[in-house]
Amino acid sequence: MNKGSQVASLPDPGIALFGFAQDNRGELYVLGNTTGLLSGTTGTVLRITSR
Amino acid sequence: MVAQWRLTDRKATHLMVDPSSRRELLRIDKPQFNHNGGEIAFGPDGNLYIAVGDGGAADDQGPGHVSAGNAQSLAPGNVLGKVLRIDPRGHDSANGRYGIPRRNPFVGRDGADEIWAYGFRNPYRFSVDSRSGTLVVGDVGQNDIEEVDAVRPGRNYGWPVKEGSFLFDNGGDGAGFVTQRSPGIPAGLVDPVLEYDHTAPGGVRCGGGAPPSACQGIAVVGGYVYRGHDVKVLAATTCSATTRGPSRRRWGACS
Repeated sequence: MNKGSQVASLPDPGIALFGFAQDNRGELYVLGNTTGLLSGTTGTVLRITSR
Repeated sequence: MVAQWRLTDRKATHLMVDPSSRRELLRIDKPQFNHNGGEIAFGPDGNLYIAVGDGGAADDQGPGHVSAGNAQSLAPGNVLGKVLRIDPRGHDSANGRYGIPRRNPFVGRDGADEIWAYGFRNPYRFSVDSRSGTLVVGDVGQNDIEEVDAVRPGRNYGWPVKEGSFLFDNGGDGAGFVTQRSPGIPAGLVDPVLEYDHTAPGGVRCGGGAPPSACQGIAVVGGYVYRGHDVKVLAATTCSATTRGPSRRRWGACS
């Protein structure tokens, strides 16, 4: 049973997500990697855009 | 630990820090392996906001925790389960390495002078809304409820009395658990602006067999108020996301 508030989901970014960032225009970025681990070379910064 | 470095050249195209300029501002006890330091960020006031977990393990109890939970404690020096605000340019703190903004809510009363707000479990990520200046904190829940809080100075965000808007029982020597939804009660605890649980429709646990498509997530990251223009549907919404799930895929949530 869902006990929480209603939220709307964005499409799956396909990465293990560790944080957001925001530029001075207010646009949002998603930071993560494809392994979910703290080491490695798969770090990714994605920008949230319209489809 | 919070430390400071200086840039070699503030006008350079590619900014770099001077490794020899390191200056330690503060250290905080780390009683358990988890719920350590989280986000640090400057606010529009030029002060530095620091998110600190409740000391770790579970239920905000056990070694390194005080009896009613670190997050609820305003005992001298207890900064666990809090968001702090300091002035890195000042020197009037107890160790003389940073300043205490004189309008911090606990200056001159019970509670460490550095505390901006309290009652957090693991405020792993937060942002400062560029328009309103509001601190928007993602506070990771224990087993049931993830929450995003719009944080105001001096307020109490509930943990471990509540997990999200639900009452929390620490379980004594056993595992803690939520009991019932209790919005606004007990008085004095601020409920989140956004919360979601770990259970999919039908009662299957997310991370315990529920399909990812039926889950809203586990371990909140966020949140951010969208102030951009490129994604009209997100205008002025608060966005968060989850860090862990059975497929290692993560979703954003905006409300």
